[in-house]
Amino acid sequence: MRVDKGLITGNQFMFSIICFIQSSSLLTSFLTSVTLQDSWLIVIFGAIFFIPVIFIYREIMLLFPDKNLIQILDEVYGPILGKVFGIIYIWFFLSLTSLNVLDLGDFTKLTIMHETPSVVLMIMCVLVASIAVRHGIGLVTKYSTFFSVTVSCLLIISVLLLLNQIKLENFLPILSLPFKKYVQGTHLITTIPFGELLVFLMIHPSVKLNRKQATKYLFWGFGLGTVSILVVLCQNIAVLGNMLDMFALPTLVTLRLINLGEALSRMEVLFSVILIMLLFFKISVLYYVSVLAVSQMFNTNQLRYLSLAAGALIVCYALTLYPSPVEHAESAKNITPFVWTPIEFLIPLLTLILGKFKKRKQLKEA
Amino acid sequence: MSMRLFKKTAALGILISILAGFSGCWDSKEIDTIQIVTGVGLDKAENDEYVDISIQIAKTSPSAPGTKDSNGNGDSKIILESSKQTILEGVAELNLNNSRSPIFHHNQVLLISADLAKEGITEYLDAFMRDREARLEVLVVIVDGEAKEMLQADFEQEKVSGIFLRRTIRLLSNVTPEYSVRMIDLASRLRDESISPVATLVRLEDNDDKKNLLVEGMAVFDSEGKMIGNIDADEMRGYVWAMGKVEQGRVAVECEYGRAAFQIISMDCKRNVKLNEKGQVNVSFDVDATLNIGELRGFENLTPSELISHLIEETEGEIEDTIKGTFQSMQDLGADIYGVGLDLKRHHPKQWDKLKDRWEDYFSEAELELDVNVRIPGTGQIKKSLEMEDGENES
Repeated sequence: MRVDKGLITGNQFMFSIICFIQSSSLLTSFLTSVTLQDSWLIVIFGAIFFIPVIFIYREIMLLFPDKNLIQILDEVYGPILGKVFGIIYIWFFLSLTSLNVLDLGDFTKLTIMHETPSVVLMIMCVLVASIAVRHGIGLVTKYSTFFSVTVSCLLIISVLLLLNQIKLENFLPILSLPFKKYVQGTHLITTIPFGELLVFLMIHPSVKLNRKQATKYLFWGFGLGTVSILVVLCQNIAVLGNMLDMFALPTLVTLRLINLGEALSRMEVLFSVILIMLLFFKISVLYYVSVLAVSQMFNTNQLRYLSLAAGALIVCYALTLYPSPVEHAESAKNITPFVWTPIEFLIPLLTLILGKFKKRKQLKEA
Repeated sequence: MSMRLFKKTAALGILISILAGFSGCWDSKEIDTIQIVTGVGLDKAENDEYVDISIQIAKTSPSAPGTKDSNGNGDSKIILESSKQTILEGVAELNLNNSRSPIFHHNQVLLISADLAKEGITEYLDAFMRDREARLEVLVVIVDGEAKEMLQADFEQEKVSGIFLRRTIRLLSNVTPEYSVRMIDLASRLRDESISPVATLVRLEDNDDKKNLLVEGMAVFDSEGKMIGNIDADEMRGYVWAMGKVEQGRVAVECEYGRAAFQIISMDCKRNVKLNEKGQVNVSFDVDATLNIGELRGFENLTPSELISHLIEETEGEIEDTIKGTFQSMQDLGADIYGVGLDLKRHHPKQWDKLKDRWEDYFSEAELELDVNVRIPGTGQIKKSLEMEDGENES
C-alpha cells in the first residue's frame, strides 16, 4: 500500500535533487578542513566515484517503480530482516533530519539571530516544515525550482562581486597533501552530501519515470548540484586562501569580504537567505521521508498525525545529538562517513543484486 | 456565524496575536542605545600583563550642518579607555560603565602601537577575528607612537580619525593594493610560514597645532607576529614595484643631463623562484613598466630619440636599484615579505618541505636576478621641453 498518493513531475524531482545537493555546498567546512586548497578536486573525484552509486539507485528505482525503499526492503529480505533494515533506515532518516535541524539552528544563530536560543529557531523551522509534510510530497517539492534558481542567481552575483578579490594562486600547490587526506576527503564528500541522495529512493514512486527519464533527471540533478558545490568551493578557496580552514562558515566570511566602493559591501545577508532557504528545503524533504518511512513501516496513511510527533522527536534528538559544535564537526569528519557507508552504498548494492535475482525467479515461475 | 467563518476568524486572530507577540529578535538593539565604534586602538600598558584598549566612537547626535558648533569646537568623537588583561574584558568594562553599548560592525581600523607590536600581535588578533560582530576587512594599522593619540587626533578633512585613516589608506591602495592590509590579509600571512606579515605603518606628525598623518611605510613582522623592523617610504617603492600590479606612482631620475620625473602607467612584475645547483634559492624578478614623462628639466643637448633611449636606460637603472635596495635590506632583516617562500611552496612543494625549517636563512642568502624593461610611449601633452633648442629637435 502506498501511503502518499501524490505525484510530482520529473522536473520537480530533478530540482529537488539540485536543491538537496546545493544545501550542502554552503556547509563545506568539514571538507575544506581536511583537504584545504585541493577541495575542489575532491568534489570532482567524489562526483566521479559517486556515478556508479547513482547507477545503483537508478536500477533500484527502475526495478521497483512503485515501491519505496521500506517496501523494497520488505520484499527483498522478507518480513523480518526487511523490518530490521527498515528500522535502520528510519533511524538514518531521522538522524539526518536532526543533524540538519541542528545545523540550521546553529548557523542561523551564527549568521543573523545571535541571541535567539537555537531551540526556538529549530522549533519554528520544524513547525513550518510539518505543514509541508502533512500535505505530502507535492508541497514538499513544490518550491524546489524556485529555491534552486534563486540560489544559483545569488551565487552568480556573489562570484561577480568577488571578482576583484579572487587570487588564482591560492589554488596552488595542487596535489601536495598526503594521499590519505584525499581518500578521506573523497569518502567524506561521497557519503555526506552525495550519499544522502539515497532519500530519493523513498520518493521515486511519486514520480513516474521510464528508464530514459530516470537517467536524465538523476544525472542532470546530480550534475548541476555538483557544479554549484564546485562554484562555492572555488570561490571560497580563491578568496580566502590559507585561511579557508579557520572558519566555521567559510562562505559567510567570503561574502562578508565583498567590498566594492563604500556602498556595495556587507552582503552576508545573502548568505543567510540562501542558507535558510536551502536548509529548510532539505529539512522538509528529510522530515517528509522519515515520516513516510515510519508510516510505511506501520502500514498507516495517517501522515498528518505522525508528522507532529516526529517533529517533536526530531527537535529533541537534534538538541541531544552533540554536546558542542566542535564535537559535531569532529564526528562529521571522522565517524559519520564510516557509519553512513554501509547504509548508503553497501545495503543498496546488496538489495539491487538480490532484487534482480528475485525478479528473474518470479519471471521464470510465471 | 457559520462554523467555517468562525474557524477562519479564529485562525486570523491567532495569526495576528503571533505577529504581535513574536516579532523582533532577542538581540534587537535600538538606535538610541548603541554607539558606533569607528576605531580601536591597542597600546602597551604599564603592567606587562595588561593591554590598554581605547575605542573611538563617532558621535551620533545630530547637529545641524553648517553651524559653528558642528564644524568648530564640537568634538565629533568620544574616546573610551580601559586597561585589562584581555580585549574582551576591556570591552566588557567599557560596556558596564556606559549608557550605550558599543557596536563594532562599522569599525574602520584597528590601530596597534609599535611598542605593543614589537611584543607580538597574534594574541590580540584572536579576539577580533572570533567576535561575530567584527569584520575581517578591518584595516590593521601600526602606529609609530601611541594608538590612543591617533584616535584622539583631529584631522582637517575628517573629524573622525578612524574614517580619515580608512579613506587615506583606500586612496593609497589605488597606487597598489599592497598598501591596504586587512585583518584577513595579516592573519593569512601570520598563518603561513612562507611569507612575512606586513602592516601599514603610520605616524602622527605635530605641525604647530594641526595634526598630520604620515604614512611611513610598512611594519614587518616575523612568523611569530613580532614586529622586527619596518620598510620606510623609499624602500616601500622597491617593495610595491617588486610585488607588481602598480597602477600609479612616480619614478624620478637624475643624471648628468638633468632631472626627469615619470608617471607610472602600469608596472608589472613576474616572479620566478627556483633552486640552483648549489641548493641556493634563486629569485628572478621580471619587471615590465610603462611610464609617461611627467616632467623634464635639462636634457638640452639630446635629440628626441636619444632622449627616450637615454631616459629608458636611466629609469631602468633607477627601478633596478630601488628594488635591489629593498630586497637587500629585507634579506638583512631575514623577513620574506615578498612571499618568495610562498612561491616556492606553491610551485615546488617538495623542495619547500626541505627548506622550510630554516627558511629565514635561505631567504637571506637568496640570489636576486632582476630584469627591468621600461617603455616610455607617451610624452604628456607637450612634445618638447621648453628648454630644448629647436634646431636640434628637428634632426
